[in-house]
Amino acid sequence: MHNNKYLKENPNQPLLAYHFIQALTRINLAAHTTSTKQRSHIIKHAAYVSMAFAAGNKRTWTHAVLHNRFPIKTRFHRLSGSRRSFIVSLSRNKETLHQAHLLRSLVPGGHAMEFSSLLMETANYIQYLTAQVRLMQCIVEKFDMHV
Amino acid sequence: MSSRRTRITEEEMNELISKLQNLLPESRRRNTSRASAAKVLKETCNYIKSLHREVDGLSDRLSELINTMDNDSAQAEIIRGLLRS
Repeated sequence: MHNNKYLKENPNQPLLAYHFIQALTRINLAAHTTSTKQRSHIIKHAAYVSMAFAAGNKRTWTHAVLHNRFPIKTRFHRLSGSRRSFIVSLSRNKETLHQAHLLRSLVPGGHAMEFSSLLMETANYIQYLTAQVRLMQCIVEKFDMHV
Repeated sequence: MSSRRTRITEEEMNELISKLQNLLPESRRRNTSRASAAKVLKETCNYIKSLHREVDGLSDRLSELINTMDNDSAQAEIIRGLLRS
């Protein structure tokens, strides 16, 4: 089935690490000019951008991150894909639609996706999020050993 | 809202939902054992929110640690450490 490729792919860990560490190195060089809180925002932003780079631009969510600067809130372009999306069958109840709507707000570019794409993009997004979290935990551990 | 037929079948939809369920960590999967699509979506939302919070927390940690570390040696250590693992 065509959608299998979304789930077979495992996040490219070295690529993820490469982008993120590069960003951290730059951030570190400017450390004396930023407050801890500012830096935290910059690091968070770098985390999402490196995720998007590592995941490649075949995904809707990566486009949304790189162009709308998620998670920093901007007024992003609502394409009302949720309305355009095909009517779900009668067996899908209100609760499912409600949860799907909530999910759209959590996945970058979610509002522009058709329901089936939303599910596939979500799966991919979660894979990269967990990989990014693991990477950051790993880095924190290494730091802790030397501070 | 105009009526249009679903593009993918109920079965394919359920398959996607169960694949999503498999991505949830063990603890969250328990809540969805009688997987209704709505439950899986709800747990997925909760999981993503917790991952976002983790990224926030780890960003804070990294920011503080950058503050306290010495430039060259720590960077080299990190990179060496990560290449080793």
